[in-house]
Amino acid sequence: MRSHRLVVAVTLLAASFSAASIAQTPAPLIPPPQVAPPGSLYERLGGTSKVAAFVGQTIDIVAANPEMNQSFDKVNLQHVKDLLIAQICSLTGGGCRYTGDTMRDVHAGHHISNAEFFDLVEVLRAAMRAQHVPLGARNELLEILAPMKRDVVKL
Amino acid sequence: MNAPSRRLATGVALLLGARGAVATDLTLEVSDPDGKPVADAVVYAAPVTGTAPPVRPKLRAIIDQVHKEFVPRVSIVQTGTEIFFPNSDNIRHSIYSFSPAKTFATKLYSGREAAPVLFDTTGLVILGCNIHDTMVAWVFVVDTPWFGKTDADGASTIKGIPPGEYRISAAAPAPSGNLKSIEMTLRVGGDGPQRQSVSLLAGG
Repeated sequence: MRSHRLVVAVTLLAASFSAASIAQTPAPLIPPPQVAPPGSLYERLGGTSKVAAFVGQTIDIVAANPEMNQSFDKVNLQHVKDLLIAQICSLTGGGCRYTGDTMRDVHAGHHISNAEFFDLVEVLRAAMRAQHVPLGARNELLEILAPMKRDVVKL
Repeated sequence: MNAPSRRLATGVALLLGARGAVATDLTLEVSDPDGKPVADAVVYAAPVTGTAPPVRPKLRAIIDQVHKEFVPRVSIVQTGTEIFFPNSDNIRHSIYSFSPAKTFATKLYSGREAAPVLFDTTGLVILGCNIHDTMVAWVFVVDTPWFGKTDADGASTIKGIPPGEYRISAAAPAPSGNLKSIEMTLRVGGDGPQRQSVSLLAGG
């Protein structure tokens, strides 16, 4: 058996591909309404502008806090916010349809502790207060969200 | 090997066809324009003449999800390969591609095995995750069984290439996301068992 060594010089071709083809899929959401349905909890929360504000603030604070952000590492936060707004809108009579995954599927494998859950609730309450959401509406929303704990923690 | 026996070997190879001919292990060394070895570059050899080898059935490959990254980040597979996404992270991922060679979206859930994805068209497929922006993987789908990926020294050995004329390709995603690629024609084997080492020097 012989060994040949063949050195071939070649020309670098122009880059024919680009990672620019990576793009975000549009979030599969029905946009939240400009005007909240009259009489709905969504309206009493302040409608889309207020809900978007306190959801955005909540996620930003949690994602920036090393004690609370282990589940948010490398996560597309805008995607989370959009889905949360849609979910709250859907649950409070705002007329949205939530098309995201179940709470169990979303949180499974993250091993979220009770403390992390309650810490996030505290941040959410503070964010709603900061947006001047009336007390009654704040409590109604928390009452709707509370049963989700069993599909969020220790999974 | 003397001349008569070489002629004999050639005659036998012709009788048996390419399959019966001795095969060559081809080592390709990929370097960047500055001469530095390029790790994780894909290399593949496609016959210029003759028919392509039949596609093997049940080709499978794995791209795992580990600490919110694709592992490996660069893959090369033959057309007809099913790729499995075992999701060692065991949290939710939402994998997609907009690449023309394979457009798909599949969700990976904790504790649930996802169906594999069939890659049946040649081309480059770039994978992302809708939940974790930073995840990216490159999958090169080629219509030849002779391919490999370079090691830390920029080298890859493609084993068992039948003698003949081949189009040799090498490509590597650059940190910028742009792809550097090389193509050349090369005569492989044809002279009895041998080992050819080919260095690709990027110029231009």
